[in-house]
Amino acid sequence: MAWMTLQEAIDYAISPKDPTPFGIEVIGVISMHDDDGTVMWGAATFPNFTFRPDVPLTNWGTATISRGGLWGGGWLAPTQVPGFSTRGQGGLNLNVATGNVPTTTIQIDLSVRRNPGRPGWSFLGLGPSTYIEIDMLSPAGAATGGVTLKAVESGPLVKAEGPSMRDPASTASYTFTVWVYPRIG
Amino acid sequence: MAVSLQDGIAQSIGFGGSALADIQMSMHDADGPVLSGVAIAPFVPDLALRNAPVTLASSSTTTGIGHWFTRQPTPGFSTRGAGPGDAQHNYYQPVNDPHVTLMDISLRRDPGVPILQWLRGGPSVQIEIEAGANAVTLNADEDGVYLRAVGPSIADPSHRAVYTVSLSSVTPWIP
Repeated sequence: MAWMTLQEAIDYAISPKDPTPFGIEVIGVISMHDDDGTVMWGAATFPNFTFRPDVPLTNWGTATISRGGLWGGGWLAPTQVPGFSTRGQGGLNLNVATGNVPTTTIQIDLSVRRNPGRPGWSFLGLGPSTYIEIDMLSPAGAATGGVTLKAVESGPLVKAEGPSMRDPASTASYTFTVWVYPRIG
Repeated sequence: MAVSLQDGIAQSIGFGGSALADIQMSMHDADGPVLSGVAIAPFVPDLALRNAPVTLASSSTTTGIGHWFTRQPTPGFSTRGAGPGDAQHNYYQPVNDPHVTLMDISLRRDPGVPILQWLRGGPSVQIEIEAGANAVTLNADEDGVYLRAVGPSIADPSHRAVYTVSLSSVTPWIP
């Protein structure tokens, strides 16, 4: 695979540089390291993980997101924020990689979006912003809770910190990476 | 419950300088692969880095204003050298692969040079990992109980990766 920033992945999904007679596929990998030392990870692929021109946030109330107002969600805010999501497509499993708890699997929906912001308006809080949202799913696939994380990008690495999906009373460090490529046949 | 590096160092000093830290490490490669690692590391009162030269010479001056300029001891935890058992306890492995790679991991917190703190000579944290022919030295952010850094992947130094390291406990150790 080749490294791809979240914005490059979004740009590729909107306008692929390569011939894509069968469309595109997306691979996303999420890892979580919580303060108990437990590491969980999951990978989402086609057809569960797809590009969306607009990925609205459920906003689980675990990050400091403005719900509206003149600058945060008003007339200057974009109407659509693109990204990738598993919602409505089966989700993925977050699995324990190692640690001092028994092996655990959590079924989740993963959504990642990047608002490119308004060039030149960063000083008013209108610069780029990236969010990772993870919904915890019931066995029937309904969202029962989750975390909304304001993320920081370091090249292709999207980093965030917030409540642990394994134990919301604990904190966790999250990392996400994505790759988009032409689907073969 | 996890302890911060600073608290782990303080606890170790409280144990008379003989303590073990239970370390968990994870690494998420920009290309997707995730590694997780574990280690049990003794406390080291003054831990030197292997491949990042110390630019301030050690000094024994601790009186007068000399200590303003003096490099302070850099305590931390390291699996290098004497440990509680065999090196098989210190390893990383890909999350979807049983293959284990032995590693040495070192964490240290440099209190900095007091008078140079305004010139970024203040406290800093480093993570150093050595595994076979690969080694990385990372300047880390101390974020609560997490040490987080971005740098070359320990498995493939041509890749970038995010590292997260935490200490789940620090306990007394009788060598």
